[in-house]
Amino acid sequence: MRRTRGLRVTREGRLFVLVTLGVGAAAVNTGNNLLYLVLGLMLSLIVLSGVLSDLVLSGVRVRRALPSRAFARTPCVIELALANDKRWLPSFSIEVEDQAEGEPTDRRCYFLKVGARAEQVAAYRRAPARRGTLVLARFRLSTRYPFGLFEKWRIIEDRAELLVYPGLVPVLAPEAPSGGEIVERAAPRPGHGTEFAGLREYRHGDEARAIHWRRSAALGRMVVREREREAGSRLAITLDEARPAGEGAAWEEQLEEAISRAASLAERALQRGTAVEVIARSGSSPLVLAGSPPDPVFRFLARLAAVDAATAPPLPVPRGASVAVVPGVREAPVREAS
Amino acid sequence: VSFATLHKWVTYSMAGLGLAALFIGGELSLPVEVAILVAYCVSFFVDGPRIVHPAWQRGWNVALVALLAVEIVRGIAGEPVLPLGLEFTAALQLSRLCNRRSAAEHQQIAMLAFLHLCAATVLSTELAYGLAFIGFVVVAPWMLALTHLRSEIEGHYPGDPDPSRAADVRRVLASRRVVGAGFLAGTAALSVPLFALTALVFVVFPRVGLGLLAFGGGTPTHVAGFGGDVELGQVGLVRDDPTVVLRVTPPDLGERPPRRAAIRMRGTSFDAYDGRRWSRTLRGEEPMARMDETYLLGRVSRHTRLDTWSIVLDHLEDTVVFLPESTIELEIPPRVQSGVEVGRSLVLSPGLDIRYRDDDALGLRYVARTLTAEGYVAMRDDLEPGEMRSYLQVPEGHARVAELAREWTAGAATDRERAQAIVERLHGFEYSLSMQDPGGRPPLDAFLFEWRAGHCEYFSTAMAIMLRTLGIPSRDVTGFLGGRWNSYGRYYAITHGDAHSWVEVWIDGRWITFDPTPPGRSEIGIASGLFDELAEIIDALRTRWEDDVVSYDLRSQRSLVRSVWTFLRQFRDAPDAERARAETAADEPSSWRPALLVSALVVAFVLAWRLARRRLGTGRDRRAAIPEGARTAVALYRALERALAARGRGRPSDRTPREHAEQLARDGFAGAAAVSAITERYLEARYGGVAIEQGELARLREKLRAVERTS
Repeated sequence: MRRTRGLRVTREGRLFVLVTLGVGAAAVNTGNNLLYLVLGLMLSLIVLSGVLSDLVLSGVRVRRALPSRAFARTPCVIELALANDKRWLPSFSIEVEDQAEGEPTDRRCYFLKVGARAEQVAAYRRAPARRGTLVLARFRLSTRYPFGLFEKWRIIEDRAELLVYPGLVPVLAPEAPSGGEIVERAAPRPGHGTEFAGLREYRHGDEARAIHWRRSAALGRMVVREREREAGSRLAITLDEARPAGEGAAWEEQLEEAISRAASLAERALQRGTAVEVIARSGSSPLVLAGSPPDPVFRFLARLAAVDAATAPPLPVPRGASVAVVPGVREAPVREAS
Repeated sequence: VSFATLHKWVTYSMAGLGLAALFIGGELSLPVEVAILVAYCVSFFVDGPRIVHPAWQRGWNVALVALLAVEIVRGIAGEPVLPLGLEFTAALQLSRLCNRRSAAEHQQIAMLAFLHLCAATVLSTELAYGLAFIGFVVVAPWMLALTHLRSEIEGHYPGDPDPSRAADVRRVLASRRVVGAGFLAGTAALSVPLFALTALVFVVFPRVGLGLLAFGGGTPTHVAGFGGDVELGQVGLVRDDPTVVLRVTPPDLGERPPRRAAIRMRGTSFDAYDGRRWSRTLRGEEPMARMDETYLLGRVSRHTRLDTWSIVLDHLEDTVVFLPESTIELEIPPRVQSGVEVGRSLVLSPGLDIRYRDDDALGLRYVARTLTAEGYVAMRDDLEPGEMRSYLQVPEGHARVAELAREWTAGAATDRERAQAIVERLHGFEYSLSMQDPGGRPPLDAFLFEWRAGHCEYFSTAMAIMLRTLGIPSRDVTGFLGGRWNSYGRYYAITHGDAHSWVEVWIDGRWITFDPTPPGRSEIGIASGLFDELAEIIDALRTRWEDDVVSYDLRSQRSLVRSVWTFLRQFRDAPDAERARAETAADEPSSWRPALLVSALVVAFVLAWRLARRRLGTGRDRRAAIPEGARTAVALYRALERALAARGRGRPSDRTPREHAEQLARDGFAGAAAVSAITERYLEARYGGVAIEQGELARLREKLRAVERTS
């Protein structure tokens, strides 16, 4: 069973306790009442320290606000709000550690003072080690207040999940497929081309530079510019996640690199006005149209897991232009549709 | 007050109390004390860049090593080690005060001050130590809490290469928001439970120690006249010394005892006079008979009525036990050594000279039981031939004195009448403290035939020698005569200036006291005023301190436990009606009114002050804790918050910036994307350390303007 409270003696505390024992020994040995007084003072400071540190940690709550996007190995900022519900007493010198499952926390938030019935906000940087679901399980609140002799801590269970996208790496932008799949349509489709196609409602993840500020102000709601997509540009990124027999950790690392490359390629392609989808053995991502946020692709890649080559279904063959991303192998040029 | 300023004042208070505790013992010489004091004051102004200059610290290190070498040499040369050690610890403290750069130095200052407080426990048991200790109880929580906070502030930028982070530490230390009046008051209020806990630990901690002080409890008071000999005139010349040496509670005090009383406390007596000096020549020191805690000077019937005197005797150089007249027995509580009660060792020498042997530097607390006048008359004894000879000894060259004695006592039929006649004649002389040098003449000749004035020593010597020339055994007695009522401690305080001498005459088989000094003596040195009142209060406190703290031992603990047990049992056994009556009496509203009024005034003052502080608070203070690199981001975000508030979209205090941005997006607020972008960038800059470049700042301001244009 996990302990929810604890106490640790600090270096200063050990010294203080040692001196207290020395004074106690001297008092008992000599019978000098003034030394008993000093001993009383030192013992009282220890007792008071324990009571006050309990008071500091009592009646406080912590909340976290997660970022909308987080990438593996890339720092993101997580907000923590510490509220002190005590009626009269402020809380001093509290350190909050946002503990994640399976991942150490290298940065903590320090709150020097949170007034009575007040809230303080701080934030810390976290660079998730790997893609996938990062479980932030609990907060560890600790304080050495008031005298720095002891560190008292308390655990507050508070579970939250953050989907970590694959880390983005520098990649060459894939050439826009010239003879890509011709998609029949009655009207020009929006994309990242040069021609203005119209305005649409802002969607979460849209690039800020696409926002039409003047129209947004006039309409009283956020709208973004849509540009006509380059005709027929669509790219399928194939990613083979099947683990060959006998491969181990090294291959897993290669797969992670490949997933990062696939995510980066997808982002670059979308920036260049190409619709993108990622195809793997275990499924494929939604097709993301140019100009749209790449989050559906990122989410698919964040959750993609290796499969056993012997039992896995075959990798589907894309119909249009595609680029294959294979663990441990550099990407080949975009394969034009046949 | 900023954090740094407050911390500095508290640090100096703590260090000052530690150094003051060292001074109390009187082990340091005056020049050293003055030097320490000057250096302490000067160090207060050593601040700023100098304190962080490497050469400054190196210089101090070299100076300390040099001082240590000098102290070692002085120690080898034979100087007492204790003052040398104290000098060095004081120098260490001054060194830390002059180098207080970070929390580490402040911690060292606190530790050294504690060390000084501990060291002072073996230097002095005076009330001044108690005052220094109370000061520690108040200041220690402040000091420890502030030093801890400073350590935490510094600890969050450990060895940061970014110089702006160091500037951040300075800025937080300069902030007035971290600790304010509330913090000070709250921490000062901690001294109340701290004091209560300290007292509790002090009272209940078992006293099983040896009961011996390593260095004694300070310098004992020197009072002339109680050693092996005394030169004529030594005792009577201290009339203006107000140091209290004895506190006496006589029997049958009544409701309003007189302000002055002539309490005679006998110290010792002298048998041999060589013309200028009195001494004791009779030998035969023997331990006093003891029954439990009672020391017997004679035997009386169990039914004899005895008066009880409570006496507190200060630590004097001569360990004489002072007795009221007609003392028949003494009751002295034993000392506790290693948890065992050990009776005090008293020795009785001829001439009724009683001294205690086991001087623990704490003085003596005892009870004297005296016979009534009738009872004393019944006591009779005999003088040994050797004693008789000693008490009749007259030095050569006192023929004129003998002749005068015969002249004065002509017509007196009994020894008592002769003694009385001499007293009456001497009462016709003048009491004077301005004495001349008798030159080569016997001082008594000069006193009796020329000056006809002198102080008590001359009067008692003249009478004793005159009686001896008449063949009447007599002796010179020294002690105290006087007493000033201390209404705070409810005792008579007898001071150094009350030292006196008189004569005991052997008449009808017992020693009878005669005081030949004219009554004019008691009119000297009586003063009253504010300072005397203050002196009385201090002396009463000092007595309580020595009774309740310094002399507290296992015996006192047992007595306390018994009292508490008795009290609880009485309360438990009390009938309900009585208990209810007692509770009603305790809740009597009139007794609480003044306290309530004072409390209300204090609370009103604190509230008014807090309100005024809040209104007068400046923007500079609010900016103080913001890191340098994040200033722009913070200003931008504040502008965003103002813009949102103006549009009725202000951030509630229970919502973080990011939560607010998300909520705005959910609400369909038109500027939600801009708000989100500014918020994320603000968080990155303020907490992620990623500063905003100029070009990016322009884009973010553009977004801010878009929000401002949103309806």
